[in-house]
Amino acid sequence: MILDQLTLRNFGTFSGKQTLNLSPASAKKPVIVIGGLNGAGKTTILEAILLALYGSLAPVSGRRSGSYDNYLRALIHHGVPHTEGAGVELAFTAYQQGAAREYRIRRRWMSTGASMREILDVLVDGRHDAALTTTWSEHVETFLPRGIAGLFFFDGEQIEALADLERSRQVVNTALDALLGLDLVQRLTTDLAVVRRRHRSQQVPDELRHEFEEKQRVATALRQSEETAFATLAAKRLDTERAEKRLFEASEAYRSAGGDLLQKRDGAEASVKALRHELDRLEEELRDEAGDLAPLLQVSSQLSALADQARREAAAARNRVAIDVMSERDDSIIAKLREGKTRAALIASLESFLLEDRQARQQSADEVAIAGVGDAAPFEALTTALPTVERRLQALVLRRDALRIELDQAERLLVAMPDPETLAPLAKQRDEASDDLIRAQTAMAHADEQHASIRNERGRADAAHESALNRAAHANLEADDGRRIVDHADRVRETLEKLRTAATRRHLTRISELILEALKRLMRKDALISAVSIDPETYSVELARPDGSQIHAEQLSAGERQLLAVALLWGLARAAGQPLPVVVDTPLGRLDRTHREHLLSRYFPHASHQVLLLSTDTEIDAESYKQLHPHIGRSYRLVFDSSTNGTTVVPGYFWEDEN
Amino acid sequence: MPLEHIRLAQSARDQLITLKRRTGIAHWNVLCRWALCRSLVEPAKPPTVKLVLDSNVEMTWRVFAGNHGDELWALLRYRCHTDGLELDEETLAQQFRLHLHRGIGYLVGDPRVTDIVGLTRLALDESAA
Repeated sequence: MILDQLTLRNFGTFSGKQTLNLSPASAKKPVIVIGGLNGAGKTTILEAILLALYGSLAPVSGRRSGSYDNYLRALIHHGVPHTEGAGVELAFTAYQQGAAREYRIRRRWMSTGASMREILDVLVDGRHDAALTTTWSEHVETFLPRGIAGLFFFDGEQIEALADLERSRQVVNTALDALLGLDLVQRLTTDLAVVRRRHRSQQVPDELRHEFEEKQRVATALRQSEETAFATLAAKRLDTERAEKRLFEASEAYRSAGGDLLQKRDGAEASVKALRHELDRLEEELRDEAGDLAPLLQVSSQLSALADQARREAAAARNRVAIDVMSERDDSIIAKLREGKTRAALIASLESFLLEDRQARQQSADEVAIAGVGDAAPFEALTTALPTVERRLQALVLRRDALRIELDQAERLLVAMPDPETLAPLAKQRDEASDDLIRAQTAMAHADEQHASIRNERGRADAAHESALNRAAHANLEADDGRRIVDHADRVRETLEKLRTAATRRHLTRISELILEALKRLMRKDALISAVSIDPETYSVELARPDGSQIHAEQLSAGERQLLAVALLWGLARAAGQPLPVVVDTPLGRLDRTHREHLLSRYFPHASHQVLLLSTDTEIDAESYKQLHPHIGRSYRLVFDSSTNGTTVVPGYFWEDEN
Repeated sequence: MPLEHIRLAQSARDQLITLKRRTGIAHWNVLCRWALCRSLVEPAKPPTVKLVLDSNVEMTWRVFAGNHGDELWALLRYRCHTDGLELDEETLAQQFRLHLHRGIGYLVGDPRVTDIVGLTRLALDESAA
């Protein structure tokens, strides 16, 4: 990486736009000297580079305090309104995948009233790269990790601090971490601690467990009551079946005793009664007939004989009357004939005929009057009336006989029917059995309903229990996950710790060698130190003499300690293995001449392919400048004009225009 | 009429009561008509017995005979004539009583006469014969 150009606009003490071309003139002249008196803005240039690269994440500057906003505000040049703002632009060349690419980081900021607005633009090969712009703060780490920036960009005060071996430990520590990538491990460890803390609190919530237990209790209780209800239902069903059996038996007993006929009894009784009534009516009719002509039917033959007799007697009576009249008349007829001329023979025969007739009539008239009635008519009337009576009687008797048979059957039926009293106990038993059955059925239906409702309730409780179980299981799993995560986090932390120690141990040896080498180059003639070792646990740097005895930091002079610090930085920078420019602010501090010469001749020309020295005229004085001159590629001077209250950059070092 | 009052023997009265019960016929005179006719049918002459008419059952001829008094009396006369008896008042009255009491006895003794239908059958059987 090579810093090509730095442009400052209203930045700090620099007024207007100031541009420094920083690219080394050649590989043999890597040093760029920037001279300036105190307050001219040397440290501001170092800050500008860091700010351009890292923005708000720039390594802490000694002059920085308060928020980044305030820092930016303070960096705006005095004579310029805050709304106009300031800017810094850094161009550098970096090799990415074997190709050189020119990066240009342009940072501007201005006040927008209460807060500051910062605008960042990143250009690659002269083209704006939006993606890189947004991710610059991460991307910059691939060029120059912040952790090791301090190894390359540092000021004299830092060297002095490093010279205190106790305090150097911390710097070495962070540098080492960054160098070895252990800061990543550190960050991972911290993240793991966060994860661990977050998951440690994860446990099955109490209310969930209580809810689950409550649901379980309810479900168990309901299951028990369901079983009870089912048992009750079974008992009721058994009762019902028994009642059915009893009713069946009672009904059978009742039926076999003629219970069914009993219901027909009333009808049978009514029909018997009706038949009896009809019979009575018929008999009454017969009795009426018996009081009339019926008895005479017995003597019907006698009656017809009697009728003949009566007719004969009637004729006799008539003849008796007629005979006297006839004899007189006959006599007169004969006498008349005799007076005439009638033949005597005829008269005689006629006379005998009339006599015979009278004699016959006389014989009839002699009939004895047995019947004693003068007329046959009543008898004849009777003999014609009687057959009608007979027919009537016949019909009545037939009907009566039929009725009798019917009544007999009806009565037999009635007799076959059981007496209600004898069946009463059986009927009572049957009715009781029926009542029992109805009660049992009702009880069973009730028990069934109850069982069904409890079953439903139990189903719901089971479902609730199930869901609570699921939730609890879920929570349990999560808690398990949490515990596992904590567990793993712990293990990973241990592993990371081991990795860290092992990596440190492994690299420290090489770093120690590099530091020793740097130290030996800086202190060539002094065979003071023969070994450098860094404690992997405490990172404290220990030096040893050739004879093996340890050198304590207090035994070194202040200059020696500064050299040691530079050697440390150099060694570490070389250990970083990255071709980065070195920027040293106030490089020589209060070193004596010998040490200065060591640095001027042995360190600066070889520290890197690009070395920026920000120095006052007393540090790199004319003599030192002369000594360093072969290696200087470019030189600038920062000129502060108190009339404009601003610094401008002028090419050439302090005495160049004098020459 | 030759017979103004008809009186019955005590035994006949008892028998008539039996018949009343069996046939359901309430009137003495109806039963007595049946008894007379029953006896007249029998070819044999009623035996001459000494009748003691000591009961309190008594009726006039009109009550006894009803609408057919002449015919009944003629029947009695005819019967006496066929039996070769004189038709004087005394004989006829005697024969009437004998026939009446014999008929009552026949009715009571007849196994057929258990009710009114049995009695009716007597008439029907006789008429059919």
